[in-house]
Amino acid sequence: MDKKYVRKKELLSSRMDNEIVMMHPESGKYFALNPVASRIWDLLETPHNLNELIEKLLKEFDVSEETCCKEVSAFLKEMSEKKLVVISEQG
Amino acid sequence: MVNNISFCYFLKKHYTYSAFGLIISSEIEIPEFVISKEKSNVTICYGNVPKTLKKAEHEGFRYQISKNEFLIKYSTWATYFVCNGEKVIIQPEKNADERDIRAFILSTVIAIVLHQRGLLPLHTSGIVYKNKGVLFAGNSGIGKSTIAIALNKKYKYKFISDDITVISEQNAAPIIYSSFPSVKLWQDSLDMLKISNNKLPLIRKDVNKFRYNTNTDFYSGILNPYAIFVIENNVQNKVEIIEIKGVEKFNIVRNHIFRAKMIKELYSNEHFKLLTLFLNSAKCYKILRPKDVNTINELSSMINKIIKKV
Repeated sequence: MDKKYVRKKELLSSRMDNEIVMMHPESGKYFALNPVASRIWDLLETPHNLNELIEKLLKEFDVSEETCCKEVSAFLKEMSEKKLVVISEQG
Repeated sequence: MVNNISFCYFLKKHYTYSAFGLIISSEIEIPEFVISKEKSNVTICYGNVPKTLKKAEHEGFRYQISKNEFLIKYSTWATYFVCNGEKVIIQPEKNADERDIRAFILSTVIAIVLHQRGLLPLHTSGIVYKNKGVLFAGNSGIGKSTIAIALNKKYKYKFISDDITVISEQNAAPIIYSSFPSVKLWQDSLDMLKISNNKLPLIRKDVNKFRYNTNTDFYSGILNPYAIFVIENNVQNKVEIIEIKGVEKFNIVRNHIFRAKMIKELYSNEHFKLLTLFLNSAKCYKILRPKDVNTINELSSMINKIIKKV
């Protein structure tokens, strides 16, 4: 539950207006993040657990805690599967 | 009898040029390029090329490629070997016309030199506005050169490139290098631009494309980016220009990396860094214009307005 997530550091990423484009250097695959996902990506520059992310996002976006929790969990799961975020070793 | 064969080697003529931010020493004359007196960092010479590459990562129709080596055989004209971004060897076929040999240097071969050097060659023409570069991307035949020349003739923008424009970086900022002063134009483009083909040399032996020199209208040097316009055909019978934002910018401009299909993903890390750096300081527009309709006046006037208010 307290797992902290952080960006995979080998990724190349760049902001394009309010979105983010990324490239996985080994697979050469490209990914795009929409504005909300880009905000989570900004936060994941430093390790965050699920609750910390939700707490920060609730302050910025007009969304219920339940929806936010569901969507951020799904986002982290997808980003982990795609090897774009990893579990932080700092705990 | 004096045997002076070895002596002849030293008498071989060499031309030194500047183009794409490179200084090129060439055994073949390239009248399109600007003559330079600086020390060269790329050489082009005649010689024997390897039969195959030792470690080819991709093979395609008539070519082999690895990150630092490239071999391509145009069976009627010549085989070219490019290595380490600094050497081009040409092995010509018998009776090949020098114009044809040169034409491949000015497109695929020089583009591979640029890729091997970690630069980003885009398939665009370009002009200058307030010391910044404005580029026009698009597939072959879409009118990249025509629009650049029209804007030059009508609104006096200086010209920087016809077909390949190089993006690089300097002190962590994106830069554009000018290419060379010459433009390839088909007869229909000359008609649209009201330029007579009288006295214009043909670029290739049997191709009806002419070399037009922009001479004093050419800007030689380094520029900061300003904007990139991507030209596409419109299914509707009108001209439209739409600003593109976000990741879509990256997606549409990436399609116009020169010879992208040939190089696969060999240089994708370098390209990602340079392309995102470039797009973060250039506005991006899509031009939609009807196919086979002469819209050059309307289009150049619309582009001129956009450039001046960016």
